Amino acid sequence: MLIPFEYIKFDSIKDASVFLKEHGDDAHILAGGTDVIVKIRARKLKPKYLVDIKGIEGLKGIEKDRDKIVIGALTTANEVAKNTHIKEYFPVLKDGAWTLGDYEIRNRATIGGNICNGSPSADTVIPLLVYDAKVIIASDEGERVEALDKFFKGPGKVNLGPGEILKNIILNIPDYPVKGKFFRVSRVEGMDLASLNMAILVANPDSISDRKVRISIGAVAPVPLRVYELEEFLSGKEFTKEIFDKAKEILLNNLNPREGSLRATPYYKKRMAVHYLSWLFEEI
Amino acid sequence: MEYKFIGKEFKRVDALSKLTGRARFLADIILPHMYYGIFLRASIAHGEILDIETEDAKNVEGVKAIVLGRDFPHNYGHLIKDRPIFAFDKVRYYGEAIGGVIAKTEEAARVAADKVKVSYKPLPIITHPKESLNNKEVIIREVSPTPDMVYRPVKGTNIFHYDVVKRGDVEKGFEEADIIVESEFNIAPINHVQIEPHGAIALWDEDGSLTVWSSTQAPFTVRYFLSDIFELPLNKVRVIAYYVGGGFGGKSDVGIEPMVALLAKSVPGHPVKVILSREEVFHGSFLRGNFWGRVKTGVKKDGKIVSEKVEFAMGGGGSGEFGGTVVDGAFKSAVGPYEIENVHAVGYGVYTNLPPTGAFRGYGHPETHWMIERQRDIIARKLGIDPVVLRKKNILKPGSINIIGQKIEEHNGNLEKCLDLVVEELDWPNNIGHIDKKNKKAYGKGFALLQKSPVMPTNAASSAILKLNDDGTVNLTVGTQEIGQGIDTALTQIAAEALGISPEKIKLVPYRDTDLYPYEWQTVASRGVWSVGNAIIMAADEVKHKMRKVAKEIFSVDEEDIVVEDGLVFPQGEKEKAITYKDLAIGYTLPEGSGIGGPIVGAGYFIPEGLVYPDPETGQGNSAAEWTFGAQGVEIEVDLITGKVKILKAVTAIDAGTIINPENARGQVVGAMAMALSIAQREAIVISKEGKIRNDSLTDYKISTIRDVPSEYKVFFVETEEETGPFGARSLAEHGMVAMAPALANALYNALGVEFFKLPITFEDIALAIDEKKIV
Ligand SMILES: Cc1cc2nc3c(=O)[nH]c(=O)nc-3n(C[C@H](O)[C@H](O)[C@H](O)COP(=O)(O)OP(=O)(O)OC[C@H]3O[C@@H](n4cnc5c(N)ncnc54)[C@H](O)[C@@H]3O)c2cc1C
Repeated sequence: MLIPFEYIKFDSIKDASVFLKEHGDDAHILAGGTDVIVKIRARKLKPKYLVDIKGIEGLKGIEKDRDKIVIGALTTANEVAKNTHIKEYFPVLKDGAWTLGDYEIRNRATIGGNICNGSPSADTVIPLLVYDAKVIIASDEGERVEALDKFFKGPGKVNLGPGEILKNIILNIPDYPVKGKFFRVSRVEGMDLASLNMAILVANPDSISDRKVRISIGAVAPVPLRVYELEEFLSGKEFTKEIFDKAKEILLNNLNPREGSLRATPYYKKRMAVHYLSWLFEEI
Repeated sequence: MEYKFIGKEFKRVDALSKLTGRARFLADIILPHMYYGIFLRASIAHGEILDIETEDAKNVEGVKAIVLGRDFPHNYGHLIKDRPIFAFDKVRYYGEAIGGVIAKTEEAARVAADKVKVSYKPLPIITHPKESLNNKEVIIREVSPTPDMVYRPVKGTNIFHYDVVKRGDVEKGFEEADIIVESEFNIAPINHVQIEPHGAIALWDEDGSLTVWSSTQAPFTVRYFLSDIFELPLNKVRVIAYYVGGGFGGKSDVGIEPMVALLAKSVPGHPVKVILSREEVFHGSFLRGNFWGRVKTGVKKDGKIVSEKVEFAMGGGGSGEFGGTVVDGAFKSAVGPYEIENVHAVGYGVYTNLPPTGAFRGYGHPETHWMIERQRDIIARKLGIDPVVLRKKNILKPGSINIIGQKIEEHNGNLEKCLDLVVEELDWPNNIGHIDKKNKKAYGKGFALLQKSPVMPTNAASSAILKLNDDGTVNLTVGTQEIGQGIDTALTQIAAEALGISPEKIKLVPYRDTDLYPYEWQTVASRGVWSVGNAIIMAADEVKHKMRKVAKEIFSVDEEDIVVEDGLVFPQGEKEKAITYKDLAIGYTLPEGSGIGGPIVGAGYFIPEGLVYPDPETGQGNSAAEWTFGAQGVEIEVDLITGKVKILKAVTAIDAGTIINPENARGQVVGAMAMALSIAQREAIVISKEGKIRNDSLTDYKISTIRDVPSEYKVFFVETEEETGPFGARSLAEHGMVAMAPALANALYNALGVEFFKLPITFEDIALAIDEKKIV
């Protein structure tokens, strides 16, 4: 059962933005609703107005624009996972999107909602981070671009000002060879939130000197985590046993999982993160 | 024996209506002038209620009434009077209902409920049964024994009931033993997670009569409690029950109905409906309580168990009325299906600051078997003998005496055969466990034995009515509930066999109504087929007897010379003269036009005869009606990286007597295995320091999904005919739950060399053990 609210649907960013600004905390954006409705039902969110953005033109779909892929915020997880460009250029994102919820949830869950919900373990965010995604944020006053990594402020908190709507996600198609993988462990094999998820991407894997590594991990910090210190350490290195031992140390120093999580203990999360890291040393 | 309809595949009678969505459940019921209720729930786990502020809530538009516990300060109960309808003096667990709001819409009730302010004087909390057992400072509920009380509370403690078994002399037995093995065990509290949440609708008529629609496994027990609480004659209380979307015991105890009835009392003429949210099912219905126990066993070198001492305590939550009988069930199986000369077992039900414990599929047996079947493997290991050999030396066989002093008869079933079938399926003792370092996997096999009898009052009765229609079809009414287990189908087959007509001609009238349907104690204890089946056979005999009486007039022969067979009625040796049931159904019309006989109705009943209360000091006595024995096993693969266990194969061999419907019977066993493994591998209610259930939703209370259940199931039925059962059938439904957890833990030992003593055994526990033992 939901406590009553007013439902409003707009067909332009401008109108939605103006309305959102006018009503501040009383108004809340609705995309697929798979987070919002759950929160309203739990009475963690008590909006007076629920502002549906699904009628806004141009927020949906995946387009290739020369060396870029532009994903509309309203694109669903299933659409992301099944898209040929995503499969071809961003397989780690495909895998992440495909693990989100179950088929029915993925039919409603949008990538924009996954990002804006601000969960530290969002399954599309972890892969987007290793691809250095950028987000375009729009309001009635115009647009701004931000690195996705700078978008997260804390659990459930993202960098959106009054009246701002996430419009697109921009990914640059790599013009160098890459190898990557998405990892995830959860309590059950069927639908479950991630106890830990992690993405690793290696650019130029076959050339030790040109190697660049990017790593992101979910559910180990208040925000989805890029482990820059580890990335720098590993880039340009040969993946030996000694390097692994040092890498492991750096990794563990960067993780700060919460005690008392119902999804996994800090011990288990760290153990699995180390194991996933070992993929680099076994497969590359 | 050869039967026509028993033991044959037969499509479920409720299949079509459930598949098409036409089947009716409580949530489907919408009545004219109906209001909605929301319960007010405690925000602390233990404390005195000081003040409740309702002014703001009353002013919410649409609110009709607010009812508080203090408006009706009454503790009800049949065995111990310790269940408030709504808490009135203090709250004893987080989420305990302290009253409710009635409004025109559910939303208005919710908004109003959020505006009620309650102040408490908090008290210290206890959630673990062992802690509660030993605690004398924090008394959760004061109860003193009274003469009309069946339970045995101990004054000045949190013990609300206990049971004792004493046979022989355990101390002497320990002296004679070659080795002594002592172990301590724990089990986390769990929830049933029925798909359908609990709910009820109550309506008070102007004449003071009460009608309640409920999702219940026990409409007649609900009626009893409502009549007792509201001081109404039984025929002024009507309980109507549609299909139940899963019970597992959690809808057999009476909880929500008195609450909704009390709310509705303030708005006579208006039905009031309440359906619990999933969160409320966790903290506002019943749990399987947490469990602590220890076992001390004395064994001879050759594996003969000479002495066993068992002590256990079950957390009962804030009231014990429905938990104490779980202890009653558990203590009879305190040492499992074994014959042991010297036994001392004590089981306690203790109050805790958690939701009340109620029935849960297995009823205390998965708990005791968790200890005992682990202990048996541990003993075998200490002695260096095969656990199969150890068990065979000690199991109950015809002629053995069990711990309550009953002699096991041939017809009680063949446990040894079940064990043989399971170990053969597991290819025991070949490859019972190994670690594959290269592939980072470990493999193991394990098994365990089980026994269970229906846990019920000595006089738990059933009845059935068969009514012939003038086209030769039959209507069957019973008071037992279809809760998904398939009882309506099995009983239709029993009626068909007993009447000698095809099941298609019989309609078991769906849904139940205490005004219209014959009495049934409860749909619990796996006793439906056995108990109601017997009542149906008696009803069929009455139908046949009535037909014979009319037929003897028609054919002018003696009653004994009339044959009733396959839907035909004829004089012995003169089948060509046969008339049909149709001709007799509403009375027979003679050639000249006059009628004889009349509409034919047969009524039957059943009560387990000869059961007595156990002796309070020794637990001895014929208190168990029939026993079902079985064995269970698993083959597992452990991922040494994640700690996750894949169940490659789950096996059960069970002697449930004659199987009425093989497909449904297999379904019950398979479902029970899946459920038990889910519980063993992952289910636990997580309680915060403040006593709040932290995982009160399916986001964080995880049950196995279809991807987590066993890859393969094997079910073997050993069919030793039960003397007391209809066509030789006995209990089956819960049993597949009983020994799965110890079978899994025994397999884990064989895979990893690690002993687990607590449930659940999560993949995190396993990963930790792998790290500690440095297995990879
Ligand atoms: C059963 C179930 C299983 C789930 N499993 C997973 C899982 O495995 N992994 C996972 O990561 N998540 C999971 N989720 C969470 C959820 O499905 C995802 O986060 C989803 O992507 C949210 O998208 P949505 O469109 O439904 O967002 P909504 O619920 O509509 O919105 C989410 C939040 O983002 C805001 N928002 C949405 N779109 C925009 C926008 N364009 N601009 C600004 N703000 C916006 C909303 O105001 C809201 O605060 C699950 C949820 C459910 C109910």
